[in-house]
Amino acid sequence: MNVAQASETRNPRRSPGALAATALFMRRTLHHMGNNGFGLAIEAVFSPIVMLLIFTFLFSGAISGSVSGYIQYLLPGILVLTVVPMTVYSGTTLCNDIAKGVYHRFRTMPFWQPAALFGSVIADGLRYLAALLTVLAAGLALGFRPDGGIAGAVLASIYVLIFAFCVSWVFALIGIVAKQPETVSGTSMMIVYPLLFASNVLVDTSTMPRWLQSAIDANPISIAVALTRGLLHSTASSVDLAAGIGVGFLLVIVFAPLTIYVYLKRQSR
Amino acid sequence: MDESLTGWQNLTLFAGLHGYTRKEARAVAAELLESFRLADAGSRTVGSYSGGMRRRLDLAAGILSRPEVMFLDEPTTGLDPQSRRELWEAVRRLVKNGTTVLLTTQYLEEADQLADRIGFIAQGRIIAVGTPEQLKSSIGGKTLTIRLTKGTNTANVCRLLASEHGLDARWDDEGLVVKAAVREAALANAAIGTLVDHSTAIEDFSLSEPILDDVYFALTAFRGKEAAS
Repeated sequence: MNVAQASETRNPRRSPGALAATALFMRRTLHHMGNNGFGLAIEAVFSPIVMLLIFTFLFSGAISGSVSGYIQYLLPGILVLTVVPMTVYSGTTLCNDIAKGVYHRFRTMPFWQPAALFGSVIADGLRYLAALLTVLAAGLALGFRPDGGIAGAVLASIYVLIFAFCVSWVFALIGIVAKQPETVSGTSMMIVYPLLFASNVLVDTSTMPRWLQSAIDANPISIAVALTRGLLHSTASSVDLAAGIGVGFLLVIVFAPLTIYVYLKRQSR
Repeated sequence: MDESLTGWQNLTLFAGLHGYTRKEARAVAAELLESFRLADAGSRTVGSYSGGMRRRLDLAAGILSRPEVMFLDEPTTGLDPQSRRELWEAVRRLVKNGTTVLLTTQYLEEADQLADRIGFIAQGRIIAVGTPEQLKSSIGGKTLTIRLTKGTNTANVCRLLASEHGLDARWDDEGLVVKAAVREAALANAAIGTLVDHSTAIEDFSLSEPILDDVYFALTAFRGKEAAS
């Protein structure tokens, strides 16, 4: 009997397939959320509401004259503003895995390795969904009335989730490259916040000088917010649609393969 | 281990990744937690575990793949005596289930407790290999330990043992405990008899098997002399 046969008779198990492994990592992320329910509540419920309240009441008078007028414009932006920073967490988790050595155990096991990335990135969608629903519910309570109705709200939510999925690959990459989890959030926030605020989230770009307007409109966050707003109020043009989906697609085809490549390459260290 | 998961969640995750079905994974996780004495801690996150508990969980996760050989590098370093005992139990269970364990340790008592075969390594080279019994008998017989009453002339006692029985006796720093290697029990009897005949005040004496520490010191001392000459 050769070695392969010997181990076959000792261990009749087959390693899990790509889908099964991804499902296991999704479950792992769900367990993380379950074990840290308080953190989830702060992140997905408390903090989005606070953000929404601050921006609604602070800016509405200056920008639009009334809360009910401004919130129609603001809320779609707040959806993106809330969810995008949450995607940084995917990167922090990956960095933690590597720093704490769990990564090395995963790497020695016979399963489809990218499952570790896909599983956590996909399951994090649940946190984003929780935050989306919170913001929508709070918005409705404050007088947000989307012209697109329920269909528009559903489509916009789906789009924001997909956009978040696309963006999280950027932070996953940072998470793998960084040495410490603290570096991940620091670096990522430095990228995220300028992009979020130098956008059309809070103010209409048509009020800006022409050069600034074109720069702000080219910001991927602006493009995503424009489509979200369009879907909620059913004013989305085919250009908005193409740009909104295109920018997400671009992020994925650049950053997903790069992230997976770097993740698998790390083994040699 | 993933510190923000519970012990149970860690084991079911790793079991799943090793190809156990969900039902099997639950069963094997419960079984492992039970047999590694972690059943009570199974629902707590690993971040709250003590060092000994973490290492037992590590071992439990390690045997999910049913390995034929397992390398454990100083698995009990820094553990308290209770945790060390529990880890020894875990290692014995592994071996009983057919896994070959290669374990490194600085504690020779641990090697004596666990190993079928022991190799001594000094200065990067293997200087002796054998079963614990073989290694102990290699330094020749048993150790006779005699404790003398305070005020006894220890040097005289040693001289007596050397002249009458040819024993290479040594005393400790306090000068109250004399130790000598003896090939057999009869020799020890005779030596004690001689001391009693010379009315030496003996407080206590014992004849014991050498421990692995004695073997190690004998081996390294020998090598030291070899290198010097």
